Amino acid sequence: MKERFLKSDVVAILFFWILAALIFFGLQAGYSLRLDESQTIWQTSQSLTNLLDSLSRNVHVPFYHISFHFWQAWFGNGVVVGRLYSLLFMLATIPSLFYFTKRYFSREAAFFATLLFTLSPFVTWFGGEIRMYTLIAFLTVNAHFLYLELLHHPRLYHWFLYTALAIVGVYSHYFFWFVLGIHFLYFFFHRPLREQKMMFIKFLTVALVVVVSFLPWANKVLNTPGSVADPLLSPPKSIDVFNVFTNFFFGFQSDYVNSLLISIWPLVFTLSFFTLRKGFKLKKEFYFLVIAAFVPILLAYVASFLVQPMFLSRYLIITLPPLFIAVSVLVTAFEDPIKNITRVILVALVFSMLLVQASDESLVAKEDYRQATEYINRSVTPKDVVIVSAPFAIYPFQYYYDGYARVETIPQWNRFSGEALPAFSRRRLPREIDDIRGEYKHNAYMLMSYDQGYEEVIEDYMDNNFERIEKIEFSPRIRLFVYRVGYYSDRPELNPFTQQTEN
Amino acid sequence: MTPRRQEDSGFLNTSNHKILIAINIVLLVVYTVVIATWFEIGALPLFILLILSQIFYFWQGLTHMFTVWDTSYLHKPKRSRLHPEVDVFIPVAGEPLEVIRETVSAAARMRYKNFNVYILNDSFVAGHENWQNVEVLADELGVACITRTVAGGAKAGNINNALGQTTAPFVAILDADHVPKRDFLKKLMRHAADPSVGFIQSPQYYKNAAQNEVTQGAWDQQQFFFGAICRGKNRMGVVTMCGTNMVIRRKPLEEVGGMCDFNIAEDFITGMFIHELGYKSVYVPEILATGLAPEDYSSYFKQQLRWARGSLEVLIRYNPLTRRGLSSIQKIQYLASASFYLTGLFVLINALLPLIFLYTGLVPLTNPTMVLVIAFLPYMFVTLMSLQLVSNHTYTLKALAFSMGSFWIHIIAFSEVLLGKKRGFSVTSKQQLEGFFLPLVIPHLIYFALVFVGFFYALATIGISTSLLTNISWALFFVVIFVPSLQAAGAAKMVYALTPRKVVGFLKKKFVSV
Repeated sequence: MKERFLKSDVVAILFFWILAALIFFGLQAGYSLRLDESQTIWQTSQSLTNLLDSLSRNVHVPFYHISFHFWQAWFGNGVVVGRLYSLLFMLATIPSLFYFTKRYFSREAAFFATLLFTLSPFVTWFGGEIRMYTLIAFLTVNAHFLYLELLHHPRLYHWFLYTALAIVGVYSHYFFWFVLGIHFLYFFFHRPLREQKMMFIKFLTVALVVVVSFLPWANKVLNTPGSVADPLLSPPKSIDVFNVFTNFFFGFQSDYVNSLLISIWPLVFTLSFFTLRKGFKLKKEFYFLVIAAFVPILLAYVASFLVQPMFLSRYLIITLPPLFIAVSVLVTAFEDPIKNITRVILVALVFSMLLVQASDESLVAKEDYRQATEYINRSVTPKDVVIVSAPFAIYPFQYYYDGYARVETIPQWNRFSGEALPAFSRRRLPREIDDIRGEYKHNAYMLMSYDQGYEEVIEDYMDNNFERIEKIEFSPRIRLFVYRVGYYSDRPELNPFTQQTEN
Repeated sequence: MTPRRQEDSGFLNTSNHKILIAINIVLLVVYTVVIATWFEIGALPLFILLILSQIFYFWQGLTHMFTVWDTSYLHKPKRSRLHPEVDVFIPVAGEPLEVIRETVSAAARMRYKNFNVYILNDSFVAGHENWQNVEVLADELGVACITRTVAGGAKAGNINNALGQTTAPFVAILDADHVPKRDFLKKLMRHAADPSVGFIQSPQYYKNAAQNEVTQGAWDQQQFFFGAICRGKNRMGVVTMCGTNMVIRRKPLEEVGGMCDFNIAEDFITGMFIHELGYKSVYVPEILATGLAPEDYSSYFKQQLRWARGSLEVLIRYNPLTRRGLSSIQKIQYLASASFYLTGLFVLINALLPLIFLYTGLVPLTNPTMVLVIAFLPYMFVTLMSLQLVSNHTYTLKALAFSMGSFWIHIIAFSEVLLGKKRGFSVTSKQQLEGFFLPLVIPHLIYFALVFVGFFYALATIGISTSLLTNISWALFFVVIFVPSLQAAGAAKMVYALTPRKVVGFLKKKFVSV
């Protein structure tokens, strides 16, 4: 009875769901709204027409946003409610991943791959973020699964499901084209083309349907004056390739921890030798996974130089499920005790990095806009002005802001206009500051985050021209400066000992 | 009692993976170029050592991939109704009688019309008191026995002595422990109809592979050689003569002066001499005889040392590149085979590089970025993959570990050759010697100790850093690779023996000297 219970797939899935839920509510749900999330909420809270217009100027395709628009309409736009939407996709990916791995490899590999997926700080991070990445993971796993089913046991409903999923996929993220591209590439490795002409024609038909379905969106984007309202990316370096893998397994760690993790790469090389076992044969599907796990990374890296920088580990989440399955299959192939030692060490490392990621406030993307904005809410009067820089940080700020002061950005930007973010100009800065402060403003609350290379210039200018009366760092990359920029109609309270304003 | 196992000929069923090998070659070239040119040089002597070892691995890798590029070639025998006479030589020199009996009995039962079995008894010249027992056994089994009374030339001398007393146009050679199948001669002699064929070789097969760590490791090494490598060499007409399980045409053998008795790898060099005369060689990828692997680490050590000595002597004293009769491919192949035994030297260099960092902080490359990893990992992963596929999934970590773990044997052999030190032919023991052979793995133990101490020393002097972690990870790779040699030498058994309950008994016994 006990053995049957332990070998039950349902019990395994329930175990992973509970684990994922515990991590979500214990570590993820309570964070402040982050920049990207606030942007999603802002975009999806508009009408569908405006939403599509807004996205056509953005770097994303609309499926997630449209579906999230309805999610918000039904369940409200609370932060936790929004994050639950991502958690749902993460939970849905768990049985898909488990079943996929079990069907093509083994239950043992399936359990380990799903455990890695559930504990991965990277996955849990996006499982608790109001963005489309767990949806993409879900679609990727199922697209790969259906694709292999089509190659091995094609049924009519597989074709329909695959086509539908491919359309949803390309409307969920541009990188999903890589997934379909991998399928196309692998097709030619699978069997000689002459043996599968009919199947090739069917795949071409699917490809045609997907491309035609995507044309309306492509048309809209091409006919919309271009605008990208996201932080600009730099071309990737070789270390970024490895950061993708460390991100997947160990999440977003400090540069120091990350470099230490990467520096033990010869151990990965050493472990690979344990697969040299007599009679150990890797299935064809394993090579599919290898292609699916590595080729998109290579393509994204190359395209970042040839087209435009696009190398972000979160975009490459399409490579995470095949990578985790491939690693699990290899580790499961080791002989005992190496197998168990490797599994225990890897899981322990992943779990401890999850805790580090959750507890270390200095880590990237853990901006506490809530705390900063609540402070501003309490402090500002209608005669003050709030300046947000970089301009796109207006989104999370606005979500929490209910103060009386006017809000501006530097560089000045009207997000409702649909125009691109203006470039920063050192020459224009004094005029912009003058415009913002007007003649009647008392204090300028300058909220600085997401340095785009000009934060220091603004800070220097303000320090040289105005009296700084306060500086607070809410989280490592969110700083609030308060400057006196105008006359007071009623003098601020002076310190009785120094006769100076408090700072 | 030697545990028998079901015969597994999977290692012979190799297949071609040309695309993968082509990718592997490209990655090898890329990695070599990257490591040689991309980064700032650190300590110059270390950089030179690193580059030298990479040049060696480049050479070995390239020749290996060229060898296994196509393993599908099979020599087509010419039709012939003739059954030329064969003298079957079974050289013995003190092996257990039951081992000889099994081999001779099986040889006598072979299905072939025209052959004579000779036991070549070297027990007398080897100083064994019971040397007459072999003659009694020969009488009992109804085969001839040629007992040598004048020593010299070891196994080769024994064979040459028999050559002078026999006349058949073909000679088959079987080691005392290699039991031929009934169709051994029939299948090899099919290829002898072609007068240009000088010798025909079949694979060795160790029936005792599963017996212990040593037999398994030795067999894992052998099956890669007799699988993909020999099949590839067959394609290029440069089959390695392996001293047993083979048939040689008497004419070329006599033309080269018999088996080479001035080199302890007499088979390897005799094969080269026969090739030099323009004769072809044929490899028959079929298990036609089953033998015994060395059963203890001491025997394995001696066997490897003999092979390494012989091959390195060929490299230095009979440089294949200067042999006139050899074709270019044959020259390259002989050079690659002989130089394989330099591997130990470069394994040591590579193993020492992380140790040198731990104790001195010196590195060959000052700022190797992740470009190095991007060039290295795909190259290594594809190499592992092609090893697995080319060997038909028979290549093992143990095979690799035994090859690399033999670094000390290679170094001893190399230094003996350089110093011109003489080493006699010693027959590989056919019985397991009891005990521990830790003196043979002292270099490995020293390495372990140095890594352990070095880690803490570097931690204290350099502190935790990415360089420290990378170097200790490299050192751990070599630790992992050396562990099977330690296991084979009985380290685990010794640790067990040193538990308090066993300590008294252990002290009573004493190490077996090697």
